[in-house]
Amino acid sequence: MNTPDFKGTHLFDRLCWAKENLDGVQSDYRVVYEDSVDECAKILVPDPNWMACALQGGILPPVWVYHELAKDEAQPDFKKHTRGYLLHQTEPVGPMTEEEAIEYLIKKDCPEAVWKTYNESNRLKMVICKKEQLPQTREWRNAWKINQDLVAA
Amino acid sequence: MAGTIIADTLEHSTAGSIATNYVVEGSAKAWIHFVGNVNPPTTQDSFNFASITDSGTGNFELSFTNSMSAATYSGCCNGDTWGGSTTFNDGGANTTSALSIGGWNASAARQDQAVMTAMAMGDLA
Repeated sequence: MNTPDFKGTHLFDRLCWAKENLDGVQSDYRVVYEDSVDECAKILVPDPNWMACALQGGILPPVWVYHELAKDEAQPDFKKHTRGYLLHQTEPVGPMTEEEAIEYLIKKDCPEAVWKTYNESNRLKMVICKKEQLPQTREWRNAWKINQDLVAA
Repeated sequence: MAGTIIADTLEHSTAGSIATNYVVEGSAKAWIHFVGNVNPPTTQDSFNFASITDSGTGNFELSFTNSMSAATYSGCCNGDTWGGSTTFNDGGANTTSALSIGGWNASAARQDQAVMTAMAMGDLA
């Protein structure tokens, strides 16, 4: 199915179209990251409907739009977004592969301090893996850390 | 956009009328139903969410695709309710880009729950 020409269409309307016309895609990829030494590892799980939009193309805005909105929200006097139009009026990105979609999602939903320098410290802060590589139960979930030995291997 | 109807009021033949801003402002802007007690958490169905971040036991962050206008939106959550356990929105941790929810047991400790649902009411960015 071809994506309609959504240039200038409100993002919410694009998502409504996707919900009606695209089947969700359950990705096997997971992103494990650590953004604090005092906290357990976090796991990013892609949403199936979002993944369908990413693979389809022509629906999602470029990831830099989210970064601009995050900059606005980080201002001390922030009350509400005044540049929401960036989500709706910026030309949507084209179809992505599943791997490209995961990269996009990392840049959208992981802290910038993690993904920009994930391999520059003396321990890895982020790993992309398949869900089968995660523990099969949630026992001791709050103690999970990235296994640096496994990463090095 | 084709098929657009612009109207300020909807009127029923006998039941009265309602302003369309009730519909626009009163609709959920995002919703999700996911399984929170498996590893990894699994989304059953959703709308306007891009990802779940599993931050630990009973601790999840749900990222929007279409951000909210302000962080003062209402996050409504629910989960398994047996034995006094429940799911709450951690309103103080909400941002315009993500809704934070937590599962709790009857002893007020974090708990993963089989069924976790959430929605966001408010204005879109």
